[in-house]
Amino acid sequence: MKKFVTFVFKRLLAAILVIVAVALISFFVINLAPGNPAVMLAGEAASPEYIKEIEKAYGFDKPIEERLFIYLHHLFLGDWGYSTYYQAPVLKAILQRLPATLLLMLTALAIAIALGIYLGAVTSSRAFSKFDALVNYVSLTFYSFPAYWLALMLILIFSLYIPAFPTGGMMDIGIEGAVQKVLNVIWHMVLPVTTLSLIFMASYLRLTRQVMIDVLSSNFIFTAIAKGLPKKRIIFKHALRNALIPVIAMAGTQFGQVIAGAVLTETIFSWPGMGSLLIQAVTYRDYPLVIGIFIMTAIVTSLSNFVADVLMARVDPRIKAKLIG
Amino acid sequence: MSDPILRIENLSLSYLVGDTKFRALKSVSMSVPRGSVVALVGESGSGKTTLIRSIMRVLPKQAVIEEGKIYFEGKDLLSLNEEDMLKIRGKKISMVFQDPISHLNPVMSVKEQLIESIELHRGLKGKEAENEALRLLSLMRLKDPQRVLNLFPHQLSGGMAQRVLIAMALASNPSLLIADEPTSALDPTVQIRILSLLKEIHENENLTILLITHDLSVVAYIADFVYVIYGGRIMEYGDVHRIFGRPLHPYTKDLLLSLSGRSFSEPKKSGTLLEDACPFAPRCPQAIEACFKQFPKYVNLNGGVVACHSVNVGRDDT
Amino acid sequence: MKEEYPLVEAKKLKKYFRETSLLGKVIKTTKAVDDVSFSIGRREKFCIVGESGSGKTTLARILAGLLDYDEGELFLDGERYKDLLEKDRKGFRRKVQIIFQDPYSSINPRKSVREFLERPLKLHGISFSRSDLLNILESVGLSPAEEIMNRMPWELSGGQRQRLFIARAISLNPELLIADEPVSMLDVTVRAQILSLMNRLYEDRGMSIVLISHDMLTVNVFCDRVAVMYLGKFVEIGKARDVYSSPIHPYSELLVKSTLKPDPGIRGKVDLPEKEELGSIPAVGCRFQPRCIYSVQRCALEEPILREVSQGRSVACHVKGVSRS
Ligand SMILES: Nc1ncnc2c1ncn2[C@@H]1O[C@H](COP(=O)(O)OP(=O)(O)OP(=O)(O)O)[C@@H](O)[C@H]1O
Ligand SMILES: Nc1ncnc2c1ncn2[C@@H]1O[C@H](COP(=O)(O)OP(=O)(O)OP(=O)(O)O)[C@@H](O)[C@H]1O
Ligand SMILES: [Mg+2]
Ligand SMILES: [Mg+2]
Repeated sequence: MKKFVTFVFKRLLAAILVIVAVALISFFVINLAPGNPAVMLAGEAASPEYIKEIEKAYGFDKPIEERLFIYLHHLFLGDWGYSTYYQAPVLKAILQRLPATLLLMLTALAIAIALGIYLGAVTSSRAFSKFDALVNYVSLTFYSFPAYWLALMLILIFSLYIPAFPTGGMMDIGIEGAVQKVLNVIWHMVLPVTTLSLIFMASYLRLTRQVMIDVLSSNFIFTAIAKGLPKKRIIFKHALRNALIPVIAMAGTQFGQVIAGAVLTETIFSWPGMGSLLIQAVTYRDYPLVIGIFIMTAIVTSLSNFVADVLMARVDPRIKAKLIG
Repeated sequence: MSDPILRIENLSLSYLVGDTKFRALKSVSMSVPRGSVVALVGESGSGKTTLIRSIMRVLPKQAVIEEGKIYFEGKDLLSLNEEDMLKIRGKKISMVFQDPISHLNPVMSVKEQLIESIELHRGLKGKEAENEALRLLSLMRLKDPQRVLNLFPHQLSGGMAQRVLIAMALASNPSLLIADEPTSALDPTVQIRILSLLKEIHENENLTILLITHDLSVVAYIADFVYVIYGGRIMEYGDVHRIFGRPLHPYTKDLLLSLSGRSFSEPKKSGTLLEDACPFAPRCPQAIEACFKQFPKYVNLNGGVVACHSVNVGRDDT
Repeated sequence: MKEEYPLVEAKKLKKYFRETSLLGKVIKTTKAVDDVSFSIGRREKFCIVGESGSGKTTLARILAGLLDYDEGELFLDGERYKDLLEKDRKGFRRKVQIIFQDPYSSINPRKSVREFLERPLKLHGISFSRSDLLNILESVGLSPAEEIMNRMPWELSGGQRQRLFIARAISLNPELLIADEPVSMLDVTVRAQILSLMNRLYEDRGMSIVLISHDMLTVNVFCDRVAVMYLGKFVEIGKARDVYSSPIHPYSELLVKSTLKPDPGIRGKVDLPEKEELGSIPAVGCRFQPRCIYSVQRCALEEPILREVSQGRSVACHVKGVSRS
């Protein structure tokens, strides 16, 4: 019990350290950039009174160490500055958009990972066959498509030529009833999720395939064969569990990037998520918001890495032994 | 003797190493009578593991079978399709591999791996399967089988892992057990128990055993019949008492001599040897010119079979 | 060198393994090494024999500085292991080398035999030539060395791989070589060759050797002193020759009598001095008691401690070897 608590504690501590590091970087960006740092935080369009207020609140007249402390303190309390474009606190603006992005990305990643792992496992068992080559070729093709291009193509085909799906948005106005709402959102998700999963899938497929090829030549696979297990079971039970570790690790790191990674896709599908938020923040030079998104990305990355660690410990007892003891 | 349960004919096998070929088995023939215990002995690197892996068709990718047939109960295993092979692997022929820990799946508990075999081949489920697993582990003289059941491979000691592998192989009540150094990681007190157990199953349930070992004491304890392999070739074979009492081949003699603590012929630098030469020739105290040119024919002699020019010469003399 | 100290000194070493649930709750405790004290002199060949699962490998890994002990003290050259490892881990590794029982665990599947041998030499900044490597391989009977060097470790037979590990460990010329079942997979001729090689290292370079083996004959031929281990405890220590020819502890006796003879004429005629039933591991009293044919009432109640019964010979038994004290 104690060891598990220590483990969680250590990981959280590591996550916090990363977040603090990111906060430090943003602090220095704010403070070392030419011009008045208060303007950075308040936004260029802010009124002089507001800039004064910010100057006071963040102590821009105080020595730098003190300012750093004040800044971190503000961050910790959830005061991430004020978005000039949205005329709302940064954190609030971000939290409003985060669920939409998470919904889109989690769905896309889940599909990409599941399909990628499945296809990776299947192709690895027939490595260098025609089937393997075909799957690799197709997935690589999707991988090399720019996201915006794929997104536009899908819109062109599936909402303009064949009007099966909407061109964008998350939910139509005026939908009543919970079930209807859910269905409507799913309907809107089809095209953006397809775009993203097709692109993400290739890396999972290739990683799984490569690791599986190694695993499949391990000694314990010979034991499984000699036991008389059917091929399917050997691949999906004995081998895949071993191959899962690097895949989980990759998903853990990738997940953090997805927040900002889906910028183009979100914009094209006018998905009300972090991606379009970031675009707006940059377009309108809403620095507090840009920095806030930066910090939020760090937080999500650290947390997803933490989840990945726990998952890995679950899959591999040796990792569990190392982590938890 | 009854019909052989397993018969290997002229098996030749090479490993591809880079762009060269390494011939690991050269025209190996052997026959395992039903209900017998046959031992395959030979030096490290002589091709023992390779030979038995080809029986189960669990060879690494680099291995190429160039020639030969392997008959199990009359069927040629090398030409069976995967589906028919599934009916034999694990069910009729079980295998215990060398290097026990690496042959257990690192992310699956002993329980999962052992019960899998029991469920697959014995049709037991749930609690019944678990009880059978516990029974097998106690047969292996593992203290606290319940604990061992819950361990993962990296938590086992070398000898514990080896016994788990043996338990797994016996789980299906096979008719042929192929065991590669099954007691190499066991201390004498456990080794003798496991060997007696195998003997018991062999006698009570007519289990045929093909045993690979470097340990001649193990051979003496359990085997009826012995094949001696060197450099990928069978040098000599015969009844165990005959092999120990009147060895014919200089290599077999060497092996037995070194047991009694007497010195043995140091391996000389091998150099390159002709493909057809006797692989033992460079080390052989009795080597003659012919040995470096041509591998001798097998001859029946004193109730054994041996391939050696000098033995042939000796016979001609008498 | 600090001659006044023994090379290795262990005082009341303990290592318990605790199996835990994912939440870290202790389900079971295994006393792998339990209160073991001993010392190994300079230029000594010290053997450990014992039952499978009695803790030999665990002890070896502790001696090699690869595993922390829970309690007790361990010294090398009079300095505590923990300090040495903290101060100069690399230097320690050079001084103390281990040959693993399970050679696969430390193989990188992508490195050739050559890279495998070169790595530690490079790491410790030892200069070497190609012919040095070839010589090392030849010395453990791996020939043709030229060809073997370009192979992958998993392309070797079991015994060849075992010898590759021996080659690597001795290439560093350590002061203390710990060999965990180094010859278990080798036939008599190769085994004799390896043992005489190790003996040469001992004689020429003054290397101290800890050899773990279950083969009493090997122990008798090779070692100066031997410790017999049973369920985490040393039950007898003495000169290898004496223990082999006249074992005192009932387990040592069982060990010697269980050793098979290479004679098919006497097969099946072994009469073992032990109870048929294995029994469970007793919570109190002597750990061997459930199997012991000599046990008296006291054995079930009180754990015997290791006591000197004659010069350099200690036994932990209430019944055997007590006459002298
Ligand atoms: N994958 C491989 N690629 C190339 N050569 C190999 C491969 N596996 C084995 N060999 C070589 O084939 C020969 C026979 O190996 P095998 O494993 O059958 O020996 P063995 O008799 O089982 O030896 P041991 O008693 O040491 O286990 C050895 O010389 C070995 O180096
Ligand atoms: N990482 C671990 N976690 C839990 N238990 C362990 C671990 N490593 C070893 N053990 C346990 O400690 C005990 C001693 O194991 P160890 O490997 O030291 O035995 P050994 O004397 O080397 O046996 P063998 O002769 O079979 O190799 C065993 O019961 C084993 O299950
Ligand atoms: Mg082998
Ligand atoms: Mg061990």
